[in-house]
Amino acid sequence: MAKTPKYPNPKFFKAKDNIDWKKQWENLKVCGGIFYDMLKETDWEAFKNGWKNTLKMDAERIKEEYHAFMALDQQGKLDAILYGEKRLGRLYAKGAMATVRREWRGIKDTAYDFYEWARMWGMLLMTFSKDLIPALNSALHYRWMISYFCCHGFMDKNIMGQRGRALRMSHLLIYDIFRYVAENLVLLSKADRKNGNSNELNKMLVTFDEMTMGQIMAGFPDLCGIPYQLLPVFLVSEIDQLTCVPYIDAVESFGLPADCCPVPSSECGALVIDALPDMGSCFISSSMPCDGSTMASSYFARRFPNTPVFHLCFPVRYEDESVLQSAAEDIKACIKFIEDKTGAKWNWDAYFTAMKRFNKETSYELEKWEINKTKYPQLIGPCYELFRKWNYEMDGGIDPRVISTCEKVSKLIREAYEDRDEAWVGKMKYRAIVWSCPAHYYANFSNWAANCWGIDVLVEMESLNFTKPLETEDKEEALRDLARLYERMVMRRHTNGGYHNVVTELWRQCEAWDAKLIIMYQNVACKNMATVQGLLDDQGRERGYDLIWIEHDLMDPRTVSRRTMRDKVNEYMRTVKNAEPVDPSLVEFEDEVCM
Amino acid sequence: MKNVAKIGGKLAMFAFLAFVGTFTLYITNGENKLIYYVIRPLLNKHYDSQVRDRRIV
Repeated sequence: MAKTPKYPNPKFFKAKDNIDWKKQWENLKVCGGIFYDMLKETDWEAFKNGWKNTLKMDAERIKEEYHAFMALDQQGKLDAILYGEKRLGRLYAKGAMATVRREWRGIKDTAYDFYEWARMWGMLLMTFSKDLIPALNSALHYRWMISYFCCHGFMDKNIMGQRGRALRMSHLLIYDIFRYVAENLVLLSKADRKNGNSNELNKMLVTFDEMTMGQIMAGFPDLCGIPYQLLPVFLVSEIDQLTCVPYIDAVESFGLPADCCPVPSSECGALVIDALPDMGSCFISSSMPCDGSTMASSYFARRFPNTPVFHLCFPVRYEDESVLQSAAEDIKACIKFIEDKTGAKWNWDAYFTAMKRFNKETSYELEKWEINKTKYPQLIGPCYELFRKWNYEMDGGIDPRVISTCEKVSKLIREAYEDRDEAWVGKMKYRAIVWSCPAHYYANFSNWAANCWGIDVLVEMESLNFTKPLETEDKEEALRDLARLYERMVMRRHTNGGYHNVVTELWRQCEAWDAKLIIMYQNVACKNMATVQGLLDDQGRERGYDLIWIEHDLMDPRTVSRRTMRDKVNEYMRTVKNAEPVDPSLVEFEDEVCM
Repeated sequence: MKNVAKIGGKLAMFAFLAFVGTFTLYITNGENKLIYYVIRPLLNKHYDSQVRDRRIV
């Protein structure tokens, strides 16, 4: 039996760096000077008093928690020890960037969470040690890099309140995403011409925009495809709500109107202040969800004129099969472009192997949906939502390690369903669906909704994409299937799909998932969705759905804060539903500066 | 035999201390506090002071 090739290809990590040590030394000297000045200028008395206050507050908090615990009756104490705490709002402190401590989930689940915490740190350290120097240099050069240090904090927010199998599934799913990110960060640092400057790696590197799907790279096993803007802008804004603020300000200071979508604004802003790496042999762009995103790709070409760009221009009318062949021709031209720029050859065997895997992963996703459509949904919450988007868009069956995660999750979800587990123990009150694009700076919003009000988001719009198995034998049909898939990339399928794909489709999905409550996101800068707001409102009312409109500004938490987003739900639940919160400590808390 | 027991005891003690140390770090959210309150402000100051190639084209 043929051995499965190692993934990622070890030669990517072994590619020789050409670091300009003289320049790096100068940079280090500047860093050293800045740190020295900071130490000199620090008011140590204020620093001491600050920490004294923090310790005092910690002592008071511990005392309060101790008294609250002692006030419980015998059974309550036993429950708290065995099954964990119930008032999660006490993990947040006013003005604090980090939660005061980690959640106590009961003995068994805390032990498991601790194991996963250690496993994740182990994976991060091992991955970065594959080429540490460029990665460290990146941390000194790019502001966004430090945000990735907070990935454990992000994980904590995503799994808050979860127990048992639901917790295990969430950990398994998110681990794969973090591993992908860590590996790509190392490669990105190595390839960056301002940093690792590995010519050898750059020759094998194809970059693409954050919306272009990764599946095309399955046919080039000797090349490495990196979603270029995903790591420095798109994904990191989900981990750290403040990360895009400097980029948005930078591009707006050059005159970009403030009502532009924060995704392309941030990407252009990052280019303006030299916060994106210069790397790769070519760049693949696409006719993305909106003109704003297309603008960001065009701006990339202006900032890095030496990097050849290919624009995939698929028809937007993706349900019209008569235009399909032109999309398939576009895919062919893109393959030829990559071959010309890198010297690599398209490999059908490698492509079909990866797509067979992707088809299997899609069938596992459909299994999750089937279970979530029943009265006993099992896998809900941010990790499930993030995994689907990542697997559909970025991984696309290329990484052979992901299939074992899918198998483990499948086993767990079946067991959980048979045992009629509660995905959120004691918090299964309202079946909900998320529509329109969610706020990046509040990626764990569905987690809060479940913990605070018992609103359980069964699925979100961006997950409901193409699920048809891709062709894995006929080459011409395979290209057409790839075109069908690419035409339905994230956000193209619904928000840009026209009236029926975003309005009629919502009612169809609500029925299929038996969801009466709709978390209706409203990206204040999205002109496409603004056009159907009134229609959704009217039709939703006629059909008797609970539509909670939640405004947000995608990557800019200053326009609509997380707290304001929560207030919309709080108000609706109190006034319209006349409901009581499941966890009152989460109704009102401050997290304006919290990551 | 005595040496084996001695080494075993030391290893067990090391494992126990490592567990106590890492678990304390975990439950107090210590590593995130270090990143947020010490490393991040330092680096932010550094990023703000850097001279960058700032241009629209």
